[in-house]
Amino acid sequence: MNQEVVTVGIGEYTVAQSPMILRTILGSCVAVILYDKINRIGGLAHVYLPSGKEYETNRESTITSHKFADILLPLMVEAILKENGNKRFFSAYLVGGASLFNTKPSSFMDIGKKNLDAVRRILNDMRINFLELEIGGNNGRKVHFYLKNGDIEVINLK
Amino acid sequence: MAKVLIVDDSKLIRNIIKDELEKNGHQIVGEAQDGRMAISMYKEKTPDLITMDITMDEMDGIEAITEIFKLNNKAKIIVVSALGQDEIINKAIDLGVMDFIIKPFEAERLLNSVKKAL
Repeated sequence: MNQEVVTVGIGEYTVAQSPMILRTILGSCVAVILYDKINRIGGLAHVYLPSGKEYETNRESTITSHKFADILLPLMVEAILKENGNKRFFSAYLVGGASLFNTKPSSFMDIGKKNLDAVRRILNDMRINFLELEIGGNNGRKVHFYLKNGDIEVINLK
Repeated sequence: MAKVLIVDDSKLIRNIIKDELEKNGHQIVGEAQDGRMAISMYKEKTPDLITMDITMDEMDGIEAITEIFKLNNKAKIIVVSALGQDEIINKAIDLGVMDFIIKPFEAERLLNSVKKAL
């Protein structure tokens, strides 16, 4: 059995099948984990910033990166479906979105909160139910996602 | 307070169910990661209630439910599964399970289901 471990980088997503393991490290970024247990396929997206569209409007630039929630998540869903995953079997889980710079939760600088809000909105729009596992706080986190059974391991980094 | 056996191949899901039920005064008497282990634990621990996953490698939930009902046709079982297939839901209901919860679920949904089943 190939229990290969794949690291998902900042602003990237990876789609994989059982028994692979996906891992990532988070600060204010949010990991969105999608799992279709029936077909044992899923993906992990490392969301770096909330909205590419917002960035594009503000900076008048063209988005080529996938690091934004509103670009990354639809692409990951599409990639899972292309690999014969089924959206009606999806379970989604959120991890991360820490405030690493001691900003108040309501601060405009709180990227972690903005990322979480964006991801919640996008998943709701896509009608994907999700559960928030370990979110917010002030610590970074290491995440392992086991495609074999959908287990998610979160280690808080002090 | 009820004695509960949790059956799921994912430790994450077992922990979520365990935390919520323990917070609300229930006692977790066992955790099984497949149907075969569930039957053995059911005989040993005689729980008041079982939460049962469907898709598991060794023996699936439908087979385990069937076997448990052979041991006790009044067993109280709540299915907690990622499965959205109507056919499987109907099969579990036909077998006599009390409720069917789709993952991921809100704590309140689980607690209401447990309350109703008891």
